[in-house]
Amino acid sequence: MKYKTALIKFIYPLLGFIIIVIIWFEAINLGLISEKNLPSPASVARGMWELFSDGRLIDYSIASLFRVTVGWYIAVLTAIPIGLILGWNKGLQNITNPLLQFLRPISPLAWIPLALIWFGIGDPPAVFLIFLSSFFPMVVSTVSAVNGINPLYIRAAQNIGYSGPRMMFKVVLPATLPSVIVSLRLSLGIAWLVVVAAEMIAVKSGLGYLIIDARNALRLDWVIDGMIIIGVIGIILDKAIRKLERLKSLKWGHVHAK
Amino acid sequence: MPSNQYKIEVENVTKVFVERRKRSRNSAKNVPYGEENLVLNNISFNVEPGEFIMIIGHSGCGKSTLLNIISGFDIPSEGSVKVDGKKVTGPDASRMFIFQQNSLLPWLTVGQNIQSALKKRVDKNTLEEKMIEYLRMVDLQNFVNYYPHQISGGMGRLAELARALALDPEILFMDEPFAALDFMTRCLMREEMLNLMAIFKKTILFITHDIDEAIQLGDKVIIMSDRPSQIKKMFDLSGFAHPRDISTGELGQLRREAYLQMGVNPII
Repeated sequence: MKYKTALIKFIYPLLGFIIIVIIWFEAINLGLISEKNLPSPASVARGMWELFSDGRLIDYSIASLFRVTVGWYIAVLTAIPIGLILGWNKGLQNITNPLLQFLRPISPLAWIPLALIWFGIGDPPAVFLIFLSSFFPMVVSTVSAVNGINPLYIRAAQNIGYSGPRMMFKVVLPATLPSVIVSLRLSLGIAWLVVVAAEMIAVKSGLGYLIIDARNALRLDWVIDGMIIIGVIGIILDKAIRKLERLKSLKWGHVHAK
Repeated sequence: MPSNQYKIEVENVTKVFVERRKRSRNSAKNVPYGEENLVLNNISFNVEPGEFIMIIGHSGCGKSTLLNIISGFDIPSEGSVKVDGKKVTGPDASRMFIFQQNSLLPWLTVGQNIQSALKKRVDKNTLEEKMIEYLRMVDLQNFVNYYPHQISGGMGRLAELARALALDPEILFMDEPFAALDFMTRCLMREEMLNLMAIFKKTILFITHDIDEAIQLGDKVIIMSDRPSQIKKMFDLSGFAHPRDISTGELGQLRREAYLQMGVNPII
């Protein structure tokens, strides 16, 4: 039995990667794809070692993670309170909802020109773009989470005598937490997507910069190395935030989902 | 009789629902937009302190609407409701509502749920102790740290009852509280209710579909007609002491009559 769980837990997830690398290797080995278009696994691995040994791999990863963390945290700290208030206050919600729905589908990348003018060069415009990318989805999903609270809980809480801030912090916030956590996870994913694009402008560090810089230097192996690192960090971020979903007081959310 | 002798006075309560949907939920009969639907038609009755009132009627007859109005969660179109001689204007912690579905806050444990109610009136130091005391009354003292989704439906109802009692309300409103339980658990709940009420002596308005439940528990049984609802019949059972055998004798007679009033044949 133990052997079987190990198989499912570790071997199966890796199997897909192994197969892709073998196909990749053979495709170049057999000359199906020219190395000009796609560097071989070996040269990608060599490139990875170069990036690691000259310190760029670590430095750039930290730079990207820093921007994502700052932008995403600002978004979390503003979007959730705003979402809770808008969700609770139907009047405000009616006023702001069209505006939110209008701003939401505008890609954060469309804000690049404005971001550069407003915040100049360096980290601030990149952080701003990440903030935007997480802010709107989080507000919208928090509002809909508040709208979706089982009215019985509100009524029971009213009956017990909850009102005002106590109702907000002791009932509305915990009741929305399962959906808010999901939106945290989704928006962190989006933020990580956007940081790469944001780093292709205005900054001289980060994984997005690595890719655009490597392209200019015609180092396709480094481009692929950059993509691999982005993917790996993306998985780690997702794994980390999923830990939140396992909180004991959130279990009820999953029970309902079943 | 001076009016302040009654706990609850329901005077000529009428409720009209105005059709707001473009199309009726029931597509067979299209209710035109804006049509007025009379749900409660001039309902009056009084409840004495400590009385256990059962209200039965067919589904959709407006029982829940009536209870919502009396508890202050809804307003009547006409007429008024008074509690202790004062007009009801909204929900209040002295009047607890117990619903058909579980309304324990699911992110709190059973113990924390009870505490959330106790906090209102109990000193911080005795909170824990009091909480256990209330849970012991419904025999749930071993489930303090369980979350509501981890306990059975019947236990959930009992925990909710304990939470309501923890607020020390004067009136309990119960809207088909045991309807979602299986038959056996429901019978056990009836017994539990009677035991608790022997201790607490609350004024209770209890809605049910279950005629047996009504006859078994109630001091008075109000039978509502179909919409527009009126009080069709009122049985006074206060003369019958518990435990009651509802299958024979005078109570058996009353039970059969209640079945017939509801349009159900008691003997099949």
